[in-house]
Amino acid sequence: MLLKPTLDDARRIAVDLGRILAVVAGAGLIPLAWAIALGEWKPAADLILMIGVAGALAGIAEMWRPKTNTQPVWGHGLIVVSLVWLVVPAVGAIPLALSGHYGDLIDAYFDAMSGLTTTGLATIQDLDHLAASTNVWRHSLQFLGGQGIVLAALVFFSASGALSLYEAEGRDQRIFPSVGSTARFIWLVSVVHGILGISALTIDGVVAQGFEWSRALFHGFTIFMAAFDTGGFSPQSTSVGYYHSASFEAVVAVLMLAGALSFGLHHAIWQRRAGLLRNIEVRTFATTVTVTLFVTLTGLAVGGLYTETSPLLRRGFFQLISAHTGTGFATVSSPELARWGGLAFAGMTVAMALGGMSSSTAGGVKALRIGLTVKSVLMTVREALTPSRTVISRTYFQYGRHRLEPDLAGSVMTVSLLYVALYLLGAAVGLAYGYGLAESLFESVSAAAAVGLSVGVVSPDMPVVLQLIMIFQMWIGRLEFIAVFALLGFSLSVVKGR
Amino acid sequence: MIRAIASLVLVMVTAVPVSDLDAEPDMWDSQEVIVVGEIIGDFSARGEVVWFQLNDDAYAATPLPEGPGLQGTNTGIGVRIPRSEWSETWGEPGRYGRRGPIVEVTGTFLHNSPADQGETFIDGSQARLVEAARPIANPPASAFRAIAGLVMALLGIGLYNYGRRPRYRRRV
Repeated sequence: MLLKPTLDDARRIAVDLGRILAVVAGAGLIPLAWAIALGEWKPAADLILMIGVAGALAGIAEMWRPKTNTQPVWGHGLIVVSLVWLVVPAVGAIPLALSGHYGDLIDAYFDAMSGLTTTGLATIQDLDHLAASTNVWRHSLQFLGGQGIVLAALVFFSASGALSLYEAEGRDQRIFPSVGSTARFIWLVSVVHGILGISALTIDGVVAQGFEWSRALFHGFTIFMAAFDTGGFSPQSTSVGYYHSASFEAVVAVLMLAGALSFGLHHAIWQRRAGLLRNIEVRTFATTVTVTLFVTLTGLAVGGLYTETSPLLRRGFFQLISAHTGTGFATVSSPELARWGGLAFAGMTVAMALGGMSSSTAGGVKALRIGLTVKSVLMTVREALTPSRTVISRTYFQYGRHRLEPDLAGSVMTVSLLYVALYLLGAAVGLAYGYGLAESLFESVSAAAAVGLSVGVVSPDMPVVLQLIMIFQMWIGRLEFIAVFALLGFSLSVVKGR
Repeated sequence: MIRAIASLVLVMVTAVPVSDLDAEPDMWDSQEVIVVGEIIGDFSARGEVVWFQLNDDAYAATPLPEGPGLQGTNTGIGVRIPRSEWSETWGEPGRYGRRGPIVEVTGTFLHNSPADQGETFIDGSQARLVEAARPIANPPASAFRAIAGLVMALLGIGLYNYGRRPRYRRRV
């Protein structure tokens, strides 16, 4: 029997939603400062409006606090998170829509959702003349999304029910017993990487590329946020190809890989904990990167697009890492990427579908699920092939030895299959609109796995239905299904509950 | 203004569009081409050469605030020219609030050039200024939006603080 939610349930959800919007309002101060510093007054006014809307909604939600001091239950966290990832793009799209660089509101919402989910697909027009402050806002959305916007709120608000909020956002590893401490550690890792990454990119910009230091800082700041949070937005229309610099690409590749590692692994590395290479997740990620890189490079070599080893390795390695980590930066144009074809195209598509590690900023099925699925299948085969009295150890190593329970194996396989279904859904819609199978699948995987590479399907002229499907894919793919299912259940209980 | 745009369009018509180079790079590879467009973003001065991004899209001919509206995404290509061909008199590259210098570059189109670690670009030998950089008059800031935003932000802060006041009676 479905229980009808009470008004207090709705109030509790609204309060958490409001507090997260307060964080969005605070984050808007960064691009606002940028706009004021550069004298970009029109974008500044648009940003103030966005900050005002987010702040007012946060205030109204706080006023509407429940009358009883009830503790939130699991369902609240899931519903809050699924709503946050719908509402924040709507508020975040305000300065984008008012910038005059989007054809309609759906385009602006598409880009805001793409930013927040760290996808990186874009329908913006004339990006090369976009105000720097609006560009910083696009990248701030990616940073907020990559860090986990709920996680950001947990640093500032000691929310009751923090654990449910934390886990509902697609993170299942707590580094410290307290969620607040875990959130602070994740932000510490990001700040340290930020200082190192922005410095390295800025120095490369000044020394190797001869940029003015202020412009080098702008490029370093925006590219860092998109690289470490595996977002893929770029301040210029030609993405990382704009820089024509192997050293810049090398720094970006390191940041992309760092972003795709789980924060638990970051903590273990900081602690210099031994035996990290035994982790099933590390082994799976290393294996899938190696295999897909080999496939992609072989495809490029056979295809004859790059006749010398150095260009082949540079282009192939960067694009593959960009795809596998779910970043979506490009050093080749969309038409060029479409020409890769065959084996290289397949390698890239599979790499995008697999994604990074769990509890990282990357999307996709995730290495842990792949590793556990493969392990479970292999164990089942072994059990079938060995005598019935033989005892087979169903364990795996992930920061210690754990038993691979049937329930766990079943749930990782279910989520993996849901991702496959999501990839096929977008591909089917693309096919229905007359796009080829390869490009439909590539673009669908790119959206659902929060990657952002495109071979030209995503554009300001794309069909609206396909655009809406991709918004749905980005949303449900980032939240890893469960939170969205909870929202659907909640909606149903509002109508049919007793 | 109309005459300037017309002459610019005439110059651009005689050049090879970047979209053609993108569509059939193998056909154009190692061919001498003329491209005309707006320098965007930054000048990247590296020793004896200068790199820049050259856009030949609709916004190069007519900047967004001055034209008929949105006309698609940017199209452009990286260009490398000898430093001797570059002049500071061209003005700053195009960005928000500024249309970059329009230049005509004569050079060789290189597709995945092995000598340049796979770069696709125009190795320019000559560059001629067609039109210097100039400011673009962007729409003015909306005072209404700024004031409305400020009022809502203040309202939000007030409501937030009011909402945070203790409301529950503690049981002894």
